[in-house]
Amino acid sequence: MKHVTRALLLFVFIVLVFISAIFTLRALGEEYYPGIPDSLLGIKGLYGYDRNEKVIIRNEPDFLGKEYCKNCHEEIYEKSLKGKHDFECETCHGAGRGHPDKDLSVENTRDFCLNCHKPVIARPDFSLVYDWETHGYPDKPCTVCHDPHHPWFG
Amino acid sequence: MSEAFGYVYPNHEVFWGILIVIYPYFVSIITGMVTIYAISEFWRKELKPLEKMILVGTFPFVLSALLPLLLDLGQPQRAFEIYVTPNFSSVMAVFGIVYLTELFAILGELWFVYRVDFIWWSQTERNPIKRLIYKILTLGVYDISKKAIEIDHKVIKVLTFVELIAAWCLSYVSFLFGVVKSNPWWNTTILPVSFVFGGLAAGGAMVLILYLLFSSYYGKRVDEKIIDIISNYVFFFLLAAFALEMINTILYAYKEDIAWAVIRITSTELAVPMAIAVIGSLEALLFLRYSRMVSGALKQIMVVIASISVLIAVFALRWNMVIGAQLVDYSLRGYVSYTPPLFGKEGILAALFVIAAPFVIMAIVNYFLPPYEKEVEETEISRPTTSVSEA
Ligand code: HEC
Ligand code: HEC
Ligand code: HEC
Ligand code: HEC
Repeated sequence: MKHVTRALLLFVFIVLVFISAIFTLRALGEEYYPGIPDSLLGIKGLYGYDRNEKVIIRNEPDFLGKEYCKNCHEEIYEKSLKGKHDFECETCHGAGRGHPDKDLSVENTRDFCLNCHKPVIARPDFSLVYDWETHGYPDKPCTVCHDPHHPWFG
Repeated sequence: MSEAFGYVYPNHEVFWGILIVIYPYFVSIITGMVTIYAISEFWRKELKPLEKMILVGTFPFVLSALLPLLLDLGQPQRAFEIYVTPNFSSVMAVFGIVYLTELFAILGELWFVYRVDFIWWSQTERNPIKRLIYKILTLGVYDISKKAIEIDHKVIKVLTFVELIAAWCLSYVSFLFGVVKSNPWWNTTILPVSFVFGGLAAGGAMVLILYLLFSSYYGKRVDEKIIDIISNYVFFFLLAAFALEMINTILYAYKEDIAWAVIRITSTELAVPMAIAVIGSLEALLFLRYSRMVSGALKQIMVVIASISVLIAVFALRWNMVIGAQLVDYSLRGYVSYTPPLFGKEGILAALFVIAAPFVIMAIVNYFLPPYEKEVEETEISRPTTSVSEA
């Protein structure tokens, strides 16, 4: 029995040390922990996002916004505001950084439009093409009839 | 069509990389090994000769389970914060406490199982430093009476139980890594069960491999009966895990619901891990089944191949759970792809280092706490044994 008591005492002792360490650190406050280890490692500021987000924040933005496109494609910009495709140009054309050197043209296919217009379970119920297999001409792109930048007629 | 993917929702990123795959993997192995230990403790007395070896094998995994998490943290020096500012309403945060329970249970278990050996070694060890260490480890009690040993056995039973519960809770935390992402495929009630069964199979496979390794290191004869018993368990654990996953997937395919859409979208990205998981499991099942009919070296080779495939297949399943769950956008409009970098804190090299860590620690533990005696050694004084019947 003696050995069990000793082992138990040792265990209780470790637990007590652990708990008192926790309470000491809490009482000392954040300047001590994690403050001191942070400053030893040269990390400034007590709190921050995790590393991944910091790295992403440092990156230059890939997406520039439609106001940027307006600088050179004013006509399309104005037209798009009148229709329901008035969201960011980059939603369809991809990130604008590097353009005009980078090609922003999209594959003008039915599948491309159907990425957003095909009925899918999780998709909100907006302008879905329920007859997507037969709607329009099955073998011609949608843009034969719809202007991608101003999809409704007139 | 694929042109449109990748930028539809550009803010979507894979934050949990290969290291977070290793964490649930280690935990699975721990769960499996602890469960096999508990089986040997409570049911199958034939597995008794393995108990020290399983402990020596599990302890390093418990020690290194934190390593991937620490490497993944942006500020590892703040890791202790989970104890300083505990949050009992978060399962992820309570993990710290569960982990400590597991650690202390296995430490206590090691002490009680090795207690008689400590006393023996503290008298006979020639290396003075080692002898001193053993002397300290006896805690000054040299009681090897029958009664004391009987008490040891009772305490070991209690500790095994605590350890088993803690290990299963650890499993619970680690499959949260999949569920937190809550994509339909992974957000299923079957996941916890199939996760645990996969882990049990992996742990059993690890026990098999370690048993063969330790036996050849200590020059012990391999007991085929033990291999049969464990590989039987591994077979049924793996069968359960595999069947559950398959039932789940077939159900999705039949219902063609949202989860099936997710599976279809990700199937290109996850083709390799899924193929590894399916083929590996099937092959392991076959080998485990037929290894029982042969004997000798052929049996051992078959069991080793099967065990390694189980370990790889379970790793692929963990990959599917942690990485796969992050690949699909919640809106189902696109996915991102993930290839781990070679260098860096979250790269493949770091991952290999983490995977190697438990084996290095195991060599050290084995140096101080050898589970068997070398067959060649001969001593005149007969050695006390831990088992009551022989004492
Ligand atoms: C600095 C002026 C400028 C800005 C700003 C600009 N573009 Fe362009 N864009 C051009 C020029 C010039 C061309 C013609 C290039 C050619 O024909 O090779 C062009 C062509 C295009 C094309 C046709 C395919 C191609 O790449 O040749 C698309 C699509 C396009 N731009 C989209 C955009 C979008 C979307 C934005 C906003 C992110 C944008 N542009 C902003 C100058 C600009
Ligand atoms: C619904 C998706 C969508 C949006 C949003 C969109 N585009 Fe387009 N855009 C297309 C498609 C599809 C084509 C190809 C049309 C073709 O080849 O006939 C195209 C072609 C273009 C072209 C080259 C051909 C042309 O018609 O001159 C330019 C330039 C362009 N878009 C600029 C813009 C700008 C600027 C915006 C934002 C105001 C924008 N786009 C928004 C789908 C879109
Ligand atoms: C990025 C997703 C997206 C893509 C790609 C897309 N659309 Fe749309 N489309 C929308 C949204 C959003 C609306 C507006 C829905 C609403 O407000 O009801 C819309 C509306 C429409 C409408 C109805 C307009 C109206 O005034 O009622 C038509 C027609 C249309 N889109 C055709 C197309 C065609 C043709 C293409 C391929 C060139 C296309 N869409 C590609 C998202 C998309
Ligand atoms: C033959 C020309 C033609 C083609 C090609 C065509 N459409 Fe249409 N689309 C129409 C006409 C006309 C309407 C309005 C009458 C109707 O609802 O059928 C319409 C309606 C729509 C609407 C319904 C808007 C609403 O709010 O109800 C959407 C969305 C749409 N089209 C998308 C597409 C897409 C996506 C494609 C390519 C797969 C496409 N269209 C191809 C002619 C066409």
